[in-house]
Amino acid sequence: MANDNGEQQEHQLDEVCIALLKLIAQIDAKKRSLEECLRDGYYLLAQSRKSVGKERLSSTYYSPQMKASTMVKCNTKEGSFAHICRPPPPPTTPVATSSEQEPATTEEQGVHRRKKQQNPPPAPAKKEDEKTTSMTTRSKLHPDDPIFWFGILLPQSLHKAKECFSQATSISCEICSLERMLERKRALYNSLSSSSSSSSAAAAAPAVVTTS
Amino acid sequence: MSASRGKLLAVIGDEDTCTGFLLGGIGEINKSRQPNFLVVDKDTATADIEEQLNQFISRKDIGIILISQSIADVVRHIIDSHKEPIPSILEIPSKDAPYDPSKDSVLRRAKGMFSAEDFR
Repeated sequence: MANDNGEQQEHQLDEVCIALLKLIAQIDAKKRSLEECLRDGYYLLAQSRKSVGKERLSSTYYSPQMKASTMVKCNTKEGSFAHICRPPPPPTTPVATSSEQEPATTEEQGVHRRKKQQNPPPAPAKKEDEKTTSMTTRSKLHPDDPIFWFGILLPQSLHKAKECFSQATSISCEICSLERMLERKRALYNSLSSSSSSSSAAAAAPAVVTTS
Repeated sequence: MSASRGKLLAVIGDEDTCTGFLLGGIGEINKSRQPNFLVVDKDTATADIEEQLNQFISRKDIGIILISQSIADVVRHIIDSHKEPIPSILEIPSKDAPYDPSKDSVLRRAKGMFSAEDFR
């Protein structure tokens, strides 16, 4: 009976040990991919700095009233972290809608066209596809987007750098979840290990012989 | 309301690291004018880094603290003594040095669990 219990504990210990090693391997792999993401991001930032100027892409241009659009949802029970991206509130000034949404009414298009005519000479009439593409691009960038702290006309490398760092944020949340799981498995391993060693010590202790 | 909103990610790193993550949308300055990031340069004192890290750890609205590994080495004693699940402290590779798993606090704790005795 004691042997069965001991074997069961050993079996459990082996399973936890294997799970631990798998988690360590997973964390290591995620950290390598995080490193790749960050490396790409740093390179793209350096490229952007070359385009817009060294001083332009610095902490001097951080907004004094920034508000996070990317948060993390923590589940203390499961010990998991989920990356959430909160969509920014709709802008107060009307912006061009994306091609996926319903097309504007004729009146709105007319107002939009008249507003455009007030600005310097209008560009020649674009083809429908190009117009749709430019509308879609504008609608993806919200006025509160941190990228606008550094200017309006920004190089493509800066947009790509932003994507790299967004991906890095997501990977970071995954790593934190794995590390929490690792800590829980570690605690389980330690408790199983100590109970296994105490039961084996008890089994190895010489039996007390009483003589009458 | 804050529970549904989620928690913030804080970052401690050089200017590029902070700029990059702020571009990703994690930056926030709260009503008390406290930012959730710290830009560390060659003139930043160790005491300032320690103070900011302790502040981030004590804030209830921060869920994850990202810290460059080269800066984490300077405040290793604080990171090693932090046992709470939230906020979670994650060491990220710095721009100047590649990621070194032997210095990572979490992986070092896990590595220290196993000895030759365990596999006999």
